[in-house]
Amino acid sequence: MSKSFRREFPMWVGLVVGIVVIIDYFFNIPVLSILSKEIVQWRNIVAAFALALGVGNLTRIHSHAIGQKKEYWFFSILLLVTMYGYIALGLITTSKSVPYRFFWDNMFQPLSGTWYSMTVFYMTSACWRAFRIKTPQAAVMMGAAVLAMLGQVGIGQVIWSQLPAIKSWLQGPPTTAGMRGITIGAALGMISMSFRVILGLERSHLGGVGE
Amino acid sequence: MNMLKTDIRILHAILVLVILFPLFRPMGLPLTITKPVKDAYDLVESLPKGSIVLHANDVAPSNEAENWCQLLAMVKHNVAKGHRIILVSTVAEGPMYSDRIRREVAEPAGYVYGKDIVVLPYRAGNETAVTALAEDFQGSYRADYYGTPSSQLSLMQEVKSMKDIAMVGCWTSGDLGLWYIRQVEAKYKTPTVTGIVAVGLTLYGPFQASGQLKGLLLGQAGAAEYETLIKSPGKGLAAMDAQSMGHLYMVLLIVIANIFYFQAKRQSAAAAGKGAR
Amino acid sequence: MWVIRTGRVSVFVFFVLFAYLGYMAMSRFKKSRDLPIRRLAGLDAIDEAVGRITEMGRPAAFVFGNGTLEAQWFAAFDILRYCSRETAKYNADMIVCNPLAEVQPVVEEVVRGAYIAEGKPQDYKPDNVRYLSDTGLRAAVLGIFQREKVAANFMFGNYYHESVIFAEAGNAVGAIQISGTANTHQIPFFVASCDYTLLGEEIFAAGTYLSRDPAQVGSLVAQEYAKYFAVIVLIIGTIMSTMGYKTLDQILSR
Repeated sequence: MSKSFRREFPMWVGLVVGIVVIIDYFFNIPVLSILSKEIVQWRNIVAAFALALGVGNLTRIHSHAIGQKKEYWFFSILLLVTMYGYIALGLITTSKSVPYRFFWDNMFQPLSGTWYSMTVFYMTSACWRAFRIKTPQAAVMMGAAVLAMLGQVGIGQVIWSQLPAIKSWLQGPPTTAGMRGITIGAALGMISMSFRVILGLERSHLGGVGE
Repeated sequence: MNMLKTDIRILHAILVLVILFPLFRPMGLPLTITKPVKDAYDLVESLPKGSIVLHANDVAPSNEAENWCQLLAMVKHNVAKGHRIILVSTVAEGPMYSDRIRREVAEPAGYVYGKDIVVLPYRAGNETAVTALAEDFQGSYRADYYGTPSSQLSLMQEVKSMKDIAMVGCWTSGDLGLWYIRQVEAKYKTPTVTGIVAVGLTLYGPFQASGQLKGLLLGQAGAAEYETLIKSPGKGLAAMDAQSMGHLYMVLLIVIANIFYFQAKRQSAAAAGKGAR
Repeated sequence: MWVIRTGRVSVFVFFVLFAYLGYMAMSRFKKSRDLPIRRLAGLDAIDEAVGRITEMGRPAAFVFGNGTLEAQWFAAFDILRYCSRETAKYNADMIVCNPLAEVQPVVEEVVRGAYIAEGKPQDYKPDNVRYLSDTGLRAAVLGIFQREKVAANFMFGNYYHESVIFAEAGNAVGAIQISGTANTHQIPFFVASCDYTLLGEEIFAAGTYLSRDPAQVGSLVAQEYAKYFAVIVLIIGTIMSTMGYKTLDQILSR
């Protein structure tokens, strides 16, 4: 497959698919509606198959680590055994079976929950290290953060009964106005980026030589 | 001694103690009911018995602490009002939690599966999955999570389009609510409420302020408020004291760190001044 | 007959105007050398970061956010391509951490293409482009930071709560940190914890800023004019709504 075909073909697919879906969004044309629905379904199927790509990548990297006896290579064995073992369990017994649910409820869920709970320790570190009042704007931000954090919970009401009302106001006009501005700007940026991708002006995701 | 160079593990240890203490000795701190949560409650209250409610359940271990409490509280309210429930998901873990809803909340209340509650499988594709569901609900789900054909589920046969859904609930830590606002609320005007993790206010606040979202539950506090409204205390309320102490600790850390920072800055400015002279 | 769907007429008009503006701007800047893009400190700092990792002999990390595939990912690909070319140029290493399976081939191709463009295809290491899955991303990235002692941390894309985790982990190993996301709920964390941050729409301008491609600049100009238009509509709409007139509401909801 030539290099130019590898770059041009996905671009043309993106152009055709993008135009079909956009026209269908605005116009009620039965043929395009059917095509657009099919494209949306295909995208869902491709996303599901992409998981297999991920499994392939993990297998390649960790097999390499095992083969070369890199540092911590035994963890690579653990990863591959766990990954393929759980896939096999799900395929053989289905995801509603008792053994599948056992590992899910007693290992995956608690471990995942533990990992996400680690965020609070990083927040603690950030509060101590990063949240410095170096400029007047930072002072305003810290003041608002303190009021919002305390107003959100019961202890705030104990400290000062007006804190919940102040928090509600802070979450209202100032936050909403600021976020609307950023959201509108970001949304226009997304439209612009999407245009460039569909029209083939943005080619970074196509890779290739000679950029 | 430079306090700013304190070993961070000491601060982590204090944090653990600060959060554990209220879990063993509840403090009974007050809770204010906010308007977005009350609006969500009023919406559910206004729906007649038998209304079909769609819950987009993107609860996963990552957001379980917040979204699961919110979803549980609202489903308990739906069940108390006799609403019929369909659960969908765009994350792989979602149907597991939907199955728990069926087993732990719906069936003990006498709900009949297939007639009063249906659990649908995970659909990959994120917003495109929501688009597909909105445009062709029955076509998107030919079978439920357990493999039963949709043609055998009477509740599924009643939903021909999103117009047959009385309310949509989105339970997520991400953009799920935005997808439903764009693909369902904007097109079919289906009342939508969202339960989001606490930082999601910046994302969903504008939509709640403009009326596109009829209610918004923020984090565990939102779940606790909803549990208070439905008079069914649960995990949300149980954790609020610990959350209060955690917030207070973080605020104190920020204040103390900045005090030390300004002190260190003054000292180095004074030392630089002496050196120059 | 082709009938515009109800509720989308005003959006269609805006869409056509936006496309027309973009086309006009692209045509203008194809002929002109004067490209009006203001300085983006975060992108200028990439060169500084690459210099740092080369001096210290430690790798950089490029970490995508855990969110869904959308426009921010394409913006991140632009920046990844630039970072890859710079690291290839200076014979440095960069570990790319990807949580999304469906873009793994794209990410590999972007990095590989960058090495080929720099004339160093033999230096491309496939093991440096790692799919880490969305659930395993945090643990994997923290482990990589600690084991590899990264000296620079580039975080771009659709970020959620992992932003503060990675920023603090990067700080713990002494990395220079450059970040960017359009997710409003994570911008404050990045601003507070990173050395340089691109806010909101700045990441979409990144590819244009780095490549200076006239056609891309044209679309950026159209985006700016669309923003002016949005501000004008906001002001007019606010005044009219305050005075009780619903005309603009009705026009925009057609």
